[in-house]
Amino acid sequence: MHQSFINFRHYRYGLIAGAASLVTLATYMLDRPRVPPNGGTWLGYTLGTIAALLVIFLALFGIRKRSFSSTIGTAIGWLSAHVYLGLAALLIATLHSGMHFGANVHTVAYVLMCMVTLSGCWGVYAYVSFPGAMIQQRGNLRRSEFLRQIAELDSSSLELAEGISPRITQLLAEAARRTDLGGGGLWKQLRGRDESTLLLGIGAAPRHSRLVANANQRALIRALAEIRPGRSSNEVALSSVQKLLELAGSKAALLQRLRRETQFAALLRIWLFLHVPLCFALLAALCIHVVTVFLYW
Amino acid sequence: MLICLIREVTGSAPAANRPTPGTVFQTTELTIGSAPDQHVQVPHKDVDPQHAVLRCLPGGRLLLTALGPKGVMVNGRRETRVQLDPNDTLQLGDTTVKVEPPDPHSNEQYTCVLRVTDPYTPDETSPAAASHSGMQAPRFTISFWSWTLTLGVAAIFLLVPMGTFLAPSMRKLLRSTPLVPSDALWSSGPLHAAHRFIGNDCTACHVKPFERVRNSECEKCHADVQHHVDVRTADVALFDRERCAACHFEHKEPATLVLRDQRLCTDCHARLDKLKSDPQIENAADFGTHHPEFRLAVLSQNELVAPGQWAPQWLDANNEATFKETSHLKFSHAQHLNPKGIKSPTGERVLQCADCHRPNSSGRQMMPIRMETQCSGCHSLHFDEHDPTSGVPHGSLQSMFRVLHEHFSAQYLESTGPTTRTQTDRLRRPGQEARQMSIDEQRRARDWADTESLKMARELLEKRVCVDCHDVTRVLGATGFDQWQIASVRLTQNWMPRARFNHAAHITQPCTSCHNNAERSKRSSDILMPRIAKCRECHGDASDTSKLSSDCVMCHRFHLPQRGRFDPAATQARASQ
Repeated sequence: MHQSFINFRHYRYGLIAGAASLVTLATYMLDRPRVPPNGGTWLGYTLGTIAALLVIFLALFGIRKRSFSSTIGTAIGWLSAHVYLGLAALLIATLHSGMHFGANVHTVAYVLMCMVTLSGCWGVYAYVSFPGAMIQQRGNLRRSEFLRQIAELDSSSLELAEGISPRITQLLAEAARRTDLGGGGLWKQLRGRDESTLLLGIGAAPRHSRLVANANQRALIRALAEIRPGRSSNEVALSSVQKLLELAGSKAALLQRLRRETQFAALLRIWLFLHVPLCFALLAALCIHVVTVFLYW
Repeated sequence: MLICLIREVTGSAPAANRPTPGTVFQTTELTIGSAPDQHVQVPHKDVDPQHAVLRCLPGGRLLLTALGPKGVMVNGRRETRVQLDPNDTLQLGDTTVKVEPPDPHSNEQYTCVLRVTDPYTPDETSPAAASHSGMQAPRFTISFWSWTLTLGVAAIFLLVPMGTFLAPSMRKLLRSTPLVPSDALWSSGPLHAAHRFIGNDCTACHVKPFERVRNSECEKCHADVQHHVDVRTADVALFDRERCAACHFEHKEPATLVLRDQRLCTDCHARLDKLKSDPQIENAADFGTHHPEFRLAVLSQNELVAPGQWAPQWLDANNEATFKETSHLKFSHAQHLNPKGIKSPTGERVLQCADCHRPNSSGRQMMPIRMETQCSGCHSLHFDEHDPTSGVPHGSLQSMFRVLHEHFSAQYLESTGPTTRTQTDRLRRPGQEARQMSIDEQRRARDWADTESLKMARELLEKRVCVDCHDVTRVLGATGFDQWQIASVRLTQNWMPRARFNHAAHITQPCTSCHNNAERSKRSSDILMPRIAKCRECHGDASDTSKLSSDCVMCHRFHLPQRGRFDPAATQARASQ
């Protein structure tokens, strides 16, 4: 069986974290503090200390995964522990709080912890499910291969178009130039919307040119389909247009796969933009929480 | 404006190096950028998605405005806002855009003609791929966001609030300015309503950093809080290190000032026999199962200790035979609560408990029973059936005798009663003063009043009015008004001085469900207080879920009156001497 960070060493860290959670939960439920449960009872202090140490341990994963020469456990083992103990840490911190929340730094630390954990959960989901989906839809093609194939389709189209008319050549050149490959800013990558455009009415003055949306090359295909070969047309020209349509269709399919690929890659990265900065904010809030609790004891 | 765009490719492109037809745009502004929706689309990494716009000024001049900080290279100079002339050349990445001079032979009335020249790129990537290399890194990196968030959190929740803590002069300003972070952000929960007036002045109580709130801060307001034990006894040592905050918690939810957990009491009271050698002390661990029987304190007169003084005296809780009250009042609850009714000025009347026992304004306790308010409605002190205004005062025999004497003296003088004088004696002749009484007549009048009032006093004291309720005794050898004595009456008001009972909380219950002997009690010496078993019918342990869970503080208080000031610091100082 493939060993991932989920089932690392037969769910070793899952079991450890589960057992720790159960013990904590049982202690919390059996404990009868003299005040309503809160972070200031002996159990509250204990759980708080454990949760704080866990947070520091979880943050250390960021260092360990970059230390390729480190021999303290394996990176996958650390990741496995990071995921499972992270979930347990949130439970322990919740019990530490005694469910008391307010507009203060203590709740800010807790909310940050929740956000870090949630973004981590999204990361786990992405790491478990996206790579498989990406491989499946990518069909063993690299990104550069996609781009090469699209470029090939573009130049084949242009070659073919030359045999028909300069107007169609210009149309296809514009279509190639104005193709949206799915790249760009993070938000655009995440949305994965085809924002290709097409310039219509080239060289047809006094008819003015206009830009139209060309998602999935639909506008191009429509424009090609509307071409009526002139009186001088022959079978060759007609079959060339037919060929152009095929090429446009293939390009649309390739573009869709490329965009999806880009979208997956963005989704795989975006959670780190939340997880890591929020983790640092959490560490800051946690330190302030600990200091201020005792500053105004 | 009408713009004609001529686009061509330089170099030896196999397909594109040929004259191309122009593109004509009718638009108010011409957009230039790498995004596919731009009029002049230049896919290049140095060209922003929306890079610049070209507008037509009145008079046909063209104005180029760069939209980003990069500007546009015009004739080799970086410009952000420039008017374009014919033959000006814009450099966008590898692409050049030239403003063509007007063609006098052209039929078209274009605002301008732009010639866009793209370089021929012989590599295999498509023109679009040149700018969209797939994943474009986001503008801000993870470490940027990490630093921003971390420093933001530190500034808002530590650095600025620390100003309130370190700089007392800034405290008021920071705390009172809305939206400015102050040390209120460090509060772990709301203050109890009673302390809310302190506001967000944390340092009012948290005086020394990293030290728990001291009793001295509480004492600034709560100066005269009494101790649990008598401060003059050695028991006070048991509370040496107690902090106010050990029982009075703040910043907790639900907000409560007094901790109700009964372990605060039972830590000592469950083993009080070991802490104190007093044999009278009994342990109490919880109300339902481990609580001593109620001890009652009855008011009584101890003639040996303090003659004439009433003082509460503890009854032996386990010996019901001693349960007697000596109030010197004659009273039968059974007679007054007779369901058939009792005589009253308005006829037969059925009395209820509440007709006499009325709660005080708080509803917690009953008001004392008084003759004037509770009894006099039926028990009239009227003594002369011929004089409806006659009545003796209540409370003092001397006053009563004086009233009787005055009454009969007046009666003699006004001759409304039997008299020895004739009618003519009393008449004033016209033109003459009324006749003065002779010494003899005065003596006769006094003797008559003495006799009559003594007779009436005897009747009231021994036969019909006073004697109904009071113990009237005859003094041996005494004569006149001195021959009677009435024992003073005191009813016990507070049977359980160590406990707090709230009648208002039990108002839905009939009185007799707890005071269940009332309807049968014929003597005033009967004590009608319920025993612990009666309370336990409804009240259980603090952890009892089948009954009303009842903790110690429901009935008892920690700070007891007249014990001396609660001042552990002083005790500690005494102990260390």
